[in-house]
Amino acid sequence: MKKELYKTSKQMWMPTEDEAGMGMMLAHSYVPWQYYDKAFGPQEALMKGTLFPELYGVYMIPQ
Amino acid sequence: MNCEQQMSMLIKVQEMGFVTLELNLYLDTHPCDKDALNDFNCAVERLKKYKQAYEQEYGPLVSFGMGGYAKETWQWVDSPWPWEL
Repeated sequence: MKKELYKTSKQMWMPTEDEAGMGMMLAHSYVPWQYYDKAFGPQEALMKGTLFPELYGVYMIPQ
Repeated sequence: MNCEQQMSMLIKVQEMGFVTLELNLYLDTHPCDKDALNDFNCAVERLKKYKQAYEQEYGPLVSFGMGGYAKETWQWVDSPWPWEL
């Protein structure tokens, strides 16, 4: 089946009515909002690769 | 030449440069965060001081016309490269 997308006035690509009718939706991505209330010191920041403790150690570092 | 001293002054420049960069990136998505703006300006100020202190002691950190005017001799090639420290 040929899938077609049409562009809305908001310049977003939306599924055709056909697809929408089949219960298909485009994926949504989500990025948590970053807050700045704490910071590493300059030396620690450079070593850890980020100034923001909130962004450090979010993913496990493979051994 | 005191390499240890030079290295520690260079690291200070790098550390404060990184802090400035991080705040720069944060401000790209949070342009109205007053605390971050304030911290950014403080970091820029300190970075400027560290760079000046380093350059006064050990010569220019950057070339390509961005490191100010040349002195009587061409200083760019005078001091050891960062990996030689």
